[in-house]
Amino acid sequence: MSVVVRTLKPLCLAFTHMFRRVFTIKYPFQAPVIEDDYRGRIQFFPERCISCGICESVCPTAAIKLVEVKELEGFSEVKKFKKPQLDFGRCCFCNFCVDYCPSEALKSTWLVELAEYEKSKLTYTPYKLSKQPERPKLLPKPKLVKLEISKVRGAGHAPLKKERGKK
Amino acid sequence: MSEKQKLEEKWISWGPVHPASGQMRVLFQTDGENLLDLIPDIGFTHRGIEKVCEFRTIISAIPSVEKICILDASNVDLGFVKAMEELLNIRVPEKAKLLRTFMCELNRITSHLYWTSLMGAVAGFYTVLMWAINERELFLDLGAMLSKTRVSYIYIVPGGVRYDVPEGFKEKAFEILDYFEGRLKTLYDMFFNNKLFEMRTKGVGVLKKKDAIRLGAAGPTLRGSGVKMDVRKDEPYAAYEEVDFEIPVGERGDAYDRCMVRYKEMRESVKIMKQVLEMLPSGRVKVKTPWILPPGEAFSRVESARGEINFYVVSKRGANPYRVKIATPSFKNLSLLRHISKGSLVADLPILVFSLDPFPLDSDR
Amino acid sequence: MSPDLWSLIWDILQSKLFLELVFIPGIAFIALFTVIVVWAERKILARVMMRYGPLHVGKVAGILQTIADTLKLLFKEFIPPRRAHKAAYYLTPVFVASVPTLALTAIPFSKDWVVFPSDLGLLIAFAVFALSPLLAMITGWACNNRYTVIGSLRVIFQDVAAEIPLLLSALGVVMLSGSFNLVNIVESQRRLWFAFLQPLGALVFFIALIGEIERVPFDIPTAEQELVFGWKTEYGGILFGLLMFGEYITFAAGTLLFVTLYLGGYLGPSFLPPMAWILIKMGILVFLLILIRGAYPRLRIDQLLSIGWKWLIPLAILNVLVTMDLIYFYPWILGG
Ligand code: SF4
Ligand code: SF4
Repeated sequence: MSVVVRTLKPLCLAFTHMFRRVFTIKYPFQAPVIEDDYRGRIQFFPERCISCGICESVCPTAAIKLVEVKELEGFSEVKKFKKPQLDFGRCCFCNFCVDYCPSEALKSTWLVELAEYEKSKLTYTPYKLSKQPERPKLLPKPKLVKLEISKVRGAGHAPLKKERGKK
Repeated sequence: MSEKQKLEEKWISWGPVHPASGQMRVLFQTDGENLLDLIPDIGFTHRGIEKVCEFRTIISAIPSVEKICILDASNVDLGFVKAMEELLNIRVPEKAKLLRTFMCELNRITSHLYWTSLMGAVAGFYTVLMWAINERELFLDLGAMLSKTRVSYIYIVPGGVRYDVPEGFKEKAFEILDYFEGRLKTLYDMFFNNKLFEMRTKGVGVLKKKDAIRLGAAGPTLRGSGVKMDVRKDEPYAAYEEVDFEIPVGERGDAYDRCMVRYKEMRESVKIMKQVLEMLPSGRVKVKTPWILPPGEAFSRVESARGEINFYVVSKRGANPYRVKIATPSFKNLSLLRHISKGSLVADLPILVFSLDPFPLDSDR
Repeated sequence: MSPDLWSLIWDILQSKLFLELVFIPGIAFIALFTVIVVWAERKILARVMMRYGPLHVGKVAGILQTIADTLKLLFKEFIPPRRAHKAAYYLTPVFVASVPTLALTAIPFSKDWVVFPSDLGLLIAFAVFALSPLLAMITGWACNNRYTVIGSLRVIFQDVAAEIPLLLSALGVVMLSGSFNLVNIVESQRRLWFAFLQPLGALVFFIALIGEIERVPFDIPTAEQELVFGWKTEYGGILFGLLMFGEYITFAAGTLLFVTLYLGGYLGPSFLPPMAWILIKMGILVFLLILIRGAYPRLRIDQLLSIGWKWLIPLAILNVLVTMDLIYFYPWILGG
């Protein structure tokens, strides 16, 4: 008897699961909420940087290199000091640079959509690195969803009530 | 016919480019449906991580070390960090110990769920593949709350853990764990207790207790053969002494027992995680660590999801270790494949391989 | 053109045979069935797995996904293996797709809607089923690949193990109705469906049918985890499409045969036409088979053989004996 139960129960489960909530996120059209301090693209605050080079030496993948900053690039006050340049093609998003920076000049952000058509574009100069993270223009503006768990209908992603302005 | 061609005539290759094999291959010979002989062939993903560690400081080696077995990042990480802490002689704060335990168990669950999905897939059962991956997603979210990233945690560092518990973490964790307990029952009814799955795996790939010890099996494979051995109990590290849990063991040592051991381990992990959450004190999660390793050597044992993982570190004063030797469980388990495949059929091959839960990256290092 | 030719064409267009060949169970039915069932299968399985399934092609729920996939297959290149037997390699998919359609000619969709009315309709359907392992065998050998050879050997083992119980359990139905003619078989179910008169036979037939049409849990010949894609490994492009097409036609024929033999075929309350009833019953059966695909792992070939030879065949024979006794002792069940 137990054999029959054990054989037929999966069939019933398969049937009942047809009416549960779908777990998938329709990605480019929907996107999960990512916390602001997620280990995503790193943002640089040039006015805080003391050009100590700790970030360069702690980086496990040698993604950070301190480079000479020119005036043309948008920084006016600091000229002769070196600032970090970050190659996101090498970065493993370990955030050690953020953790060990003595003056909190680096900060991780929520942006994870970093793909580019050319590899050279992944190298962020200090000026580019200091800009606010921005979702690529190519992607449609997604509806934000959040994980919701209900005992009856199962786990799934429900749209957030109000969208946050930033993303 | 050249020698090479002759060899190719004789052996059929399962992998490395194959729907189910992963980044390894198994060469096998058949007589109709019967498996005559097989050779597990690994090494396609060798990255030389032991060597990489020699050129990294103790902190910056961690991202590489984790990639030995990225499905089980925290457990591998903890093994390395434990050896380093032994060298540096650091005592870790109580809260950090508990958080380490939590993260390791979380990783054990994600790793076992990933295995469940693969096991479902190789049995031709794609529903389980999707379900297990769905449940894993919950735990990735939970891990992301703690460590701020989803897979490659780099959470455990010498001296403690990197981030403190965020706001609202405990409630979220309990919600997910309670839900997952229910889902685990459903998975049991659907998959582990499914009569057809049992038919498929029972009596396949028997590894007797004696052979398991003699051939050096590790982890759930060893426990599936009825050997009650678990580093978490034998030589408790992190906070495993303070929590209460069981070590599930099998009886016959066949593929079904190994699967059931992993299923029961997931239940135990949920139990441990709940206890840890209740026990969490307040306080620091990290102490300051020196950067320079003193001369000496250290050895660490950690029970990862695939079995015992060992790190042996030699240091000759400096920022980098002099030599790191890593013994990984997948390598130990994959070498059993030939032994347990005796008298099996071709259709058993994926079941045999995945009942050992190998991770080719783990075995290649 | 002369008016004679016009009227001839008109006659042909109006003739029943033309309707049957073009609509039900002809080309339109087969194509529509494949398109809808492939879509439904993906959608239902997706829901079982808590996914969406096809979503974007076609405005509603990805309904045009199958057509898009077929178009994609049409534009793909064939890459025959170097050492393959070219003629067999290119020809067998055509036969795999066309032979199972013959089985549909024997199925009655209403009392007088049969393409090929014959007193041996049941045997015709089985004869067509028995052809499929031959084609798989030729394909497997023609591709000259180890995986395909093992796959085609498995097809033969499997079909022998499934075909015998299939025939034996159908024998019970034949005894009850006293005819091999499928129309007569359906008509003799007017009082009670044979599924209720012979539950054992129906169960054996159902399990053997899953083995015959090679669906989960008996999709052993195409087990992709061990054999890449079994005997279909080397095919790509529309040749692969034809193989899949053939598989779904076999699926249609198998379910229709089960409905005809056990579930009263086209019979049903008269507010719907008979053709609608057989299609509804078929739809339910197809849904059940898709659900089974979502609920079970694949079995091994030796397990299929032992199920076939040790359980299904003895049970089918038992069913025949019980039916004999029933007819002998209680002749009223024949309805005479
Ligand atoms: S970013 Fe931070 S660590 Fe890097 S040079 Fe500037 S201050 Fe130093
Ligand atoms: S996140 Fe890690 S890898 Fe990336 S730049 Fe910072 S230290 Fe280097």
